[in-house]
Amino acid sequence: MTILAARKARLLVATSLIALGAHHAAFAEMAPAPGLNTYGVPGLLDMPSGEALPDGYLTTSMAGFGSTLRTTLSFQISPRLSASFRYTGVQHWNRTTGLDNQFNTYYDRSFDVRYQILTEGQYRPAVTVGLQDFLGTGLLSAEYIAATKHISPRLKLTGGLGWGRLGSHGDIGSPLGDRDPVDVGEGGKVNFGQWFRGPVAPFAGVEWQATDKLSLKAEYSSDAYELEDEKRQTMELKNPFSFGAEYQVNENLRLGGYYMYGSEVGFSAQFTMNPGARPQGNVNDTAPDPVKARPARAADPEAWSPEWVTQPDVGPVLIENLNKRLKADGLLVEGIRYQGDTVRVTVRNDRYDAEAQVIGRVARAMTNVMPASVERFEIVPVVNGIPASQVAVRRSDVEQLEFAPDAAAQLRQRVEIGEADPLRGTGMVMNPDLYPRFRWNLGPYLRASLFDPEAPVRAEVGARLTASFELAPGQLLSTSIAQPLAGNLDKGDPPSPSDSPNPPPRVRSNVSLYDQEGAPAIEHLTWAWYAHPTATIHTRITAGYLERMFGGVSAEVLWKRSDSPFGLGAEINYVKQRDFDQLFGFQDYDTVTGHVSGYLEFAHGYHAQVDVGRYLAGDIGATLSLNREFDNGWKVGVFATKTDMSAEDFGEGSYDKGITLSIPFTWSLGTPSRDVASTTLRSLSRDGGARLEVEGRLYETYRDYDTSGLDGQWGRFWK
Amino acid sequence: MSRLALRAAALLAVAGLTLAACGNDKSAAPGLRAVKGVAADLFKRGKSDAPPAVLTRAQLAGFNTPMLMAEVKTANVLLYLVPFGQNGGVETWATSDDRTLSFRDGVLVATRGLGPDIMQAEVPSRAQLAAGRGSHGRAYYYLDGNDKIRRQSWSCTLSDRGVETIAVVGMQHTTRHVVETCTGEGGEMTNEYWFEGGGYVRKSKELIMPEWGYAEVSRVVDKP
Repeated sequence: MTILAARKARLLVATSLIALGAHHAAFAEMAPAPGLNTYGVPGLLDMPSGEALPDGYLTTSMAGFGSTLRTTLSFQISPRLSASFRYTGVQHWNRTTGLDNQFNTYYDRSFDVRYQILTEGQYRPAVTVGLQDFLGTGLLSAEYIAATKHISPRLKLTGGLGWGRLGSHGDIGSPLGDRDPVDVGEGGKVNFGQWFRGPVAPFAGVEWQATDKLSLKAEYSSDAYELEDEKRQTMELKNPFSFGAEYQVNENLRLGGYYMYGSEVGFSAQFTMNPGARPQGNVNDTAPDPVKARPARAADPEAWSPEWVTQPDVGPVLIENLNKRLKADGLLVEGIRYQGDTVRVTVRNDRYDAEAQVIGRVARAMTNVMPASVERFEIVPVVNGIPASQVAVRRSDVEQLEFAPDAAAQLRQRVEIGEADPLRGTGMVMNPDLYPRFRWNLGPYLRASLFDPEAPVRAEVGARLTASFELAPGQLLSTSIAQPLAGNLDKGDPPSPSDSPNPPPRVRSNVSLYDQEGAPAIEHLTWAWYAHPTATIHTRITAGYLERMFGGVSAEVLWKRSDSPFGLGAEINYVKQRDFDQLFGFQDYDTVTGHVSGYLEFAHGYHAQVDVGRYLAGDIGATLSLNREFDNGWKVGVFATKTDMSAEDFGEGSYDKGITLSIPFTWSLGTPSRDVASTTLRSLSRDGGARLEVEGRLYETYRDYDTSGLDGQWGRFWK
Repeated sequence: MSRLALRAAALLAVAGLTLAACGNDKSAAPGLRAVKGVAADLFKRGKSDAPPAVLTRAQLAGFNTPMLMAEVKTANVLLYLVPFGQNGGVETWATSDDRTLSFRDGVLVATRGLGPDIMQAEVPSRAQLAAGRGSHGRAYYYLDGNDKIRRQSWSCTLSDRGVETIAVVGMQHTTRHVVETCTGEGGEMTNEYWFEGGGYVRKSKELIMPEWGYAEVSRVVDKP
């Protein structure tokens, strides 16, 4: 039976009757994780333990007792190193001043780092050293060393020593000297002078795993809650003992109930995620066309004739035949070039998060479409019409390895990944139907502002129209227009007058005015030109209304070899501040801003980026970003920017810093998609260290397709 | 079901304009697609209790193409597949909505489009299985949640359970029942084969993934 007949027969059968269960836990791979304390790190009730979370785990915990509520995001950066970001709210903060009302909740943000210096052995306890609130205004500041040992599989003991806040009850002296006083100031400074200084106090506790789901905890705390108990009277501390029970509802959720310090009732909800494993297990996707093997040359010499290259119009026909097969995969062949036994195709990918799967699908489609004399497939993924890289695959390898054990690894050894040559003048036959290309979408949007000092969550929903018009490969007109419909984002306070004698220009701190007046708002309206002058250089020029607050011209160049972990870029922009209504007008402020950027993948999955240059307010400095990236696309990172703007001019926080999270939709939904949900948790929108937010920066646009990006998900080639 | 539906409705309400979204750019508005996806999942979950409908022998008589029926009972999946491609000794069969099963000489070696797919497999030959005795190794290659290939290996022994008459969609077949019992890191698993007329695999029950289930594959329409 021929393939065509089979296709026809397939259509006769009613669509397969399938009712896939929404969840299959295949390879969910959640390792048992220790419970968290009220600070959202592994521990007892209020005290930390020596344990660490499994590598790469991300936890969110909400814990409250009395008038205190702590929301903490913790990430296990490496098997031993972890970091936490915490948002604390204490109600009735002004109780003692007589101004107690619903508005006097005190909000504070803090960062911790922990390092496990010893892992648990047969006789040796797990030991962790931690710095709590080492950057903020220092209210929760403490340092500790904690040790935890299992006495039996179900019983573990924890003991430790605490300084700072954790040395405030029952101290045994100050062996390492006096502690510097808390310097509240603008916050954000590393409090070196305090670490492990001042009174040190012991703490201890025990956790008993009563059943597989239920554990019971008891602790003796070394925190006297001096400020809360005495000065602010937000809680009453009767004794240092606390007790609690925690229930593991499922692998992602743990709930706890506590009786703290002889006076307060508490609770916690702990959410655990393993970014390295999709909650749905596998990616749910339709099958590819199977490989079509060529007939033996002796059996069908005519099929092997290389004569086809001389036929006129063969290029558009091959493009059309490929696109018939690839349409269902969300892939689109843009152009083709054939020479001898080699065919090169350029392909646009609108669907797959895994770039290797794009290559695999195209290679299999090519075995079905290309004349038998074609042996070498050069597959060039393009983004914005510009080649990102080139993968060369031998057709006979694809034929032989389709069902071979470990086919992905075997094929990878025989595949060449490199930079694509610039396409201009290389004899590509272009898809005649492709340009110009108009696309548009009208849909809802959600914009949120999290962990603002005034309100934990502000959000807005509305309708957004996006449209793009591709004039030619690399040339793109695009816009995005938003109409807010509901929400409280526009209820943000107007910017408070600066108390600095030389206030910096308000390049970001006017955000609430933009939120209030932009209805509708032109979020961007730009013309962009992407180019690829040499194999290792990409360029971009963008002009127009670049972002909500600035318009102007932006030019960027990136040097990156496909096989190198290092990339170098530079960007220069001339911008003018836009009107608050975000239509066509501008305000008076204009500036030149730009950066030189270095990018480095210094270990598999660990990325660093340094940007040095001039920021929007004219301040000069550098940004360091560190990211842990999972092969499935998850990214967790931190960044900090230090410029020559003084802490007083910058305001609360002293300098810009924050946390970034990127979650691929493929991970959450289990179906292929290139969409990523990204969020940045940062200090307030301040004016120092602020960068222009222009769309389509080159490094993030193209690097998914270089050697490291393809290899990370190479297993998906055959999916 | 009603609680799930309520949750789904709430999600739709949050998105506000779900049904109003339009345009020719499907990659835009990712948040909306996420909400839709989750809502669809919830509804699907609610419905998945109903067993899928099975074609009758009379309905099958209308087809003159060889056809397989494959069922994954644990996941409530029922597929009808026809020959779709051949590469070397491996035949690939497909449903009309792009799910495929691939067999090397009647033994399952790959699946696609199911979600938890067998990417590749090391399997015994049909002749080895049909012998009904002896032992051999077996291995499956899967993708994990970080897109890495994981190999899961098994050691298996065969036993012959003798002659068995089975019914396949209303038709009786006299077969020899062979059971393949395997142990490995994944615990234990058992594949079964019903050979007809010497070595033709009339029916089999073969593992797809331990956490997901077995495919029961029957040849419901033979070559005309």
